[in-house]
Parts: sequence; C-alpha cells; structure tokens
Amino acid sequence: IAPAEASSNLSRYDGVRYGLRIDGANLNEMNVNTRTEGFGDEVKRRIMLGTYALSAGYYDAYYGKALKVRRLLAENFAALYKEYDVLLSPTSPCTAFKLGEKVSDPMTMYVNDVCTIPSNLVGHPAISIPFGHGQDGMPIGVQILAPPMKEPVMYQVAHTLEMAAQ
Amino acid sequence: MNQEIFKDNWELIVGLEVHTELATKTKLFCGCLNQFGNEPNTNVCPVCLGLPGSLPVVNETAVYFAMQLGRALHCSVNRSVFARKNYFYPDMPKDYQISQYDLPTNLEGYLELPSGETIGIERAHIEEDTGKTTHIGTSGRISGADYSLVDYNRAGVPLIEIVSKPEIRTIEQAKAYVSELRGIILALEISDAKMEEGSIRVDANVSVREIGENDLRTRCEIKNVNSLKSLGRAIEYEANRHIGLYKNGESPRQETRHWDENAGRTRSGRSKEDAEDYRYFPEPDLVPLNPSEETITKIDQEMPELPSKRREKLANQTGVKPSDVALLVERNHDVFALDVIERGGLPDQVVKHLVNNLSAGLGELTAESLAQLVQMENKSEITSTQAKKMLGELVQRGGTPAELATELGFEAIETNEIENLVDQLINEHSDEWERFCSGDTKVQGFFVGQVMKATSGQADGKLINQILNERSTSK
Repeated sequence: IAPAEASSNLSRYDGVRYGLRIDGANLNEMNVNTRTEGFGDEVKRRIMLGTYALSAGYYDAYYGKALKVRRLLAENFAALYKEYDVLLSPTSPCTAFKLGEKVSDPMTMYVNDVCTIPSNLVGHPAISIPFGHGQDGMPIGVQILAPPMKEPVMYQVAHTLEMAAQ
Repeated sequence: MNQEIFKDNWELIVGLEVHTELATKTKLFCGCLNQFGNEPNTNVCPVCLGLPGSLPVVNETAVYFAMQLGRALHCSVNRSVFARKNYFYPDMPKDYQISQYDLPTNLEGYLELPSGETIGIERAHIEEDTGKTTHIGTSGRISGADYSLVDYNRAGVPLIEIVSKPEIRTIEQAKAYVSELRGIILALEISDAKMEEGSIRVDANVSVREIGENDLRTRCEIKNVNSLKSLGRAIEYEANRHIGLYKNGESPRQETRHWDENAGRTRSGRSKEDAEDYRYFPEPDLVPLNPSEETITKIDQEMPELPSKRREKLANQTGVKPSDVALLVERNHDVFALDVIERGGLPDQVVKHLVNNLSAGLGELTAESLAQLVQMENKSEITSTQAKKMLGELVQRGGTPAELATELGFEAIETNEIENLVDQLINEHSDEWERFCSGDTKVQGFFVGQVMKATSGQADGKLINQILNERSTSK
C-alpha cells in the first residue's frame, strides 16, 4: 500500500514547478531526466513496486487485495481491543545493526519495519520507548499500541514503563 | 429507439461527455477563489499547486451541486469514493487528478429532450479541473512549440462530468442534448455554463454502423468543440470519415481526435490504443461521501422548475406547436406569456407575438399591455400591422396600448369607408380593374397600395382584399 501511494504522491516531482529540473528535447524527456537524477535508489524501488501494484491487470491481485487485508487487520485489532486496553510488542525484531551494514539488502530493511507498520496501516496510535538492553548491549525498544482516541491511556502506560526501566 | 438513417444505410451513434465548471465561491479542495479572468497564477495556494505536504479538503457546496444535478437528471445518488487518475502533464500540479471512478456520486439517469425523446445518462461525477496551458510557437499546440506557459488559476476548480449513453442518433439530438443540459444547469444555478468561456465543454464520441446491426463499431473521441455549430459540423465530418473508410474496406482507428474549426476537419491526436493506464485507486487523503436520505429528499423537494416542466406548463395553456413553446422557454419568456394569458390575452396569439415580434426582448413592455393589445386586435379595434407597430413602441418606451393608439392616430377604418375607397379606385383605374377581374393577381397589390395610401396605412389589409374579391365577383 505504501509504495503504491508513494508512486502517486511522488509524481509531482516532475521538474515543472519547483525543485530540480534537468532539461530535455521535449516535455517527456525533461520529466524522465529530472526524476532519474533526482530520486535515490530506494525511492525508485518503491515507485516501481507501487506503479506495478496499481497497474491494469495487477490492481486486483495486489493493491485491491492489500486494501482488503488492511480492513481485516483493522477488524482484528478492534476485536483485540474489546478485551485489552493496550498491546505491547518490540519496536523492531532485532537490536540495532551498524550503519550501512544492511542497506544493500532491501528485504531485511523492510522486515525491520514489520512491528511498526500495523499501527500505520490501521491508523491507530502507538509509541516506542527505550526499555533495557539486549545481550549484545544494544538498546531495546518497546512499542505500546492503543485504540483510536485512547492516547491518554497509551501515554500513561508508556510513562509507567519508562519510569520502571530507569 | 427508432433507427434514424444518417446517410445511405448508415446509422449515427453519438455519446456526449459534458464537463461543467461549478460556480462555487472557492475551489473543490482548497479555499482559493474560483474566478475566471484574473491575472495568471493569482488564485493559487499550496493545495491547488500540489506543493509537497499539502492535503485536499472537500468543498461541501460542490458536492451538493453535484447531487442536485444528479437528481435533476433522474440519477441515483450514491455513496461515492474519490479516486486518483494518474498521468503526467504540466497543467496538473500533482500529476494526478482527483476524480471519481467506480463509485461516482450519480448513476443511471436520463435527459428528456424538448422533442420528448430521452437520452440515457450513464453517470455524473465530481472531479477537479486542470490548469490552462498556452503553447507559444507556430501551431499553438504542444508539438513544435518554443515554450509553454501554465496558469493554475483553474487548477482545482470543481467540475461535474456528465456521460451520456451512446443513444444519440442525429446531429439535432446532439445539439438539443447539450442545450437542454445547459438549460437544466442554469435552472439549478450551479454554473453559468458558457461554451465561449469554457465553463461548459463538450467532447463527442462518434461511430457509425449499418442499419440493422446490433453491435457498436469503433468510436473516436472528438475534442476541442467550442460551440453547438461546431459540434454539428464535427459530428458530421467524423461520421462521414468513418463511412468513407468502411466503404474503402478500411476501418477507423480507436483514437482521440482534435476538431480543427478553421479547416473544418478532425485530426489525429492521442491514440487510444496505447492509451494511458491511469492506475485509478481510491484517494487515500479523502473519506468516502455518504449522503443521507434526508439530504436527497431535501434536494428533491427544493428542485427548481426545470425547462421540461416550464414547457409543459406553457403547452398546457396553448395549442401552439412544441418548437414555439421550447423557443419561449429558452428565451425565458414563458413566465411572461403565462402572465399575459392570465390577464386575458388569447394564448395562441400571445405566443405568436412573442415568437415573431419580440425576439429582441421585452424592454418596457408589460404583461398587462400585451394582454390589452391582443384584446384590441381580437375586437378588430386595431389591425395586425398596427399591433406590430404598437408593440415596437411599447417595447421601446412603455405605456398602454389605449394611450398609444390614440397618440398614433390608429383607429379602425370602417368597412364602408374602405368600400367607398375601392369603388372610387375602380372608377379611376378601369384598365387595371379589368386586368384584376380577368385574373391578373399582380395588379391586386396596386389596389391595396392605393387604399393604404389613402388611409395612411391604417386600413386592414385582409379587409381590403376581401372587398376587392367581392367586387370582382359581383361585377
């Protein structure tokens, strides 16, 4: 979903009104030159993925499907929140790795987001606080997720945990 | 639907896409003024310029207008979802247009033409307008231009796109469709719908097929039609072009064509085959619109009198032909006509005067005056020639017919006065009279002219002729 929306949101960087412009023989060439030069690799990757997911013939299988999955996810959360006030999880699946260590491995990079993506998808509040250290001595983050409009509860729990960790 | 022959054994198939700019105070997704004719790029803001980080907020009035138009066209008003239509062009700041795709506001309606025929409406949806590009170069088009200028004042202006079903079969129907749609839009007061200003735009989808065929053949979309006259010419040209190709064993390519007004022909534009994939998806920055039953009921209850209703009202009061009724409604003279009729003016005569003698406008003429004038005419107190002259004066400077008749010295010339004059003329012009009696009708004009001269134009032409004929047969 994010790459699909990004592929559309990023269209406005076409060199016409603001920002970088690299000229070409005609309008189309100018657009292509500008965007090729102006976007980094990761952005280009997401734009291509997103455009693919939205294209004719693939929309239903990818973007359309993803929207439905998101709806199911939201319903899952709603069901959980009937029983629980807040949810806890690690903020990321592993402790911090060195700068530049995994940048050339996009899949691993994406997997690192897996704990924080759900709240963004379903539109619920969440907060991350430091909570102790791992065996390798690197800090660990704990995520508290709450239902919509329940930020006060979320902050209370987060504050309590933060105090306890010190 | 009756199958109309366009040419030889060919049937014309036309569908029209009409875009109308809504007359809201502000644009569809931001608070910028919705105004025509300002200095370029003065009614703009981060939202309609698509600056990074800007977000759209829906203009409630625009949505209301859209629902009103939908109901006026007998559509169902539905829960709708805005969608992004993605393509690159400098006049679109975000390089996507926020429109509606598979869940539009209005679906499945129809438009009733003055003739009584109906044309199906597939949908009427809401979308934002683009900016306006001007290409500076020899052709005025983008290819071959030295440079181009873009004005974003129009970007973000609310539009309704009305898509008809391909049920139009003649050029007259096509023009009537646009006229009637415009009449409805004006009655609702949601747009000033002026083709010259671009606040109403028409694209025609044209194809042909042989009479008796059931399937539709390849169609072409014609753009750049700027008047009803052009619409007729463009449809005719394009249909003939298709027929010519088929007769040659070829067939038209499915494409968008540009109407060239000066050359009187269409030219190839974008090919619809390698057409853009617009990658429609629901606009993530906006929530769906879900109008309530109460809102729709309110719209129906507040529906103003539409042209079809006005024609019905006038037709019920008179026995004149439908085209005259339609003409009066189009000129906005129907309410006046009904007023005159209520004041005692004979309906058919009232319409006749309005249609024939008052096309330039009513000026200072009041309904009471016209009613009196018509009554005077009926009682033969004035002739129709005199009535026409009086009308001209009443329009110019007002007053009442009675006063005016006295002022102009119009009195009915008595029948025996005319008889005396005719007898006198017969005596003085025996040669001419012989010719008239033996059947020379040309000389009739001479006698009528002489009587008119003698009475300073006050005599009733009908009466003169009647007397002349009586005299010639009795002799």
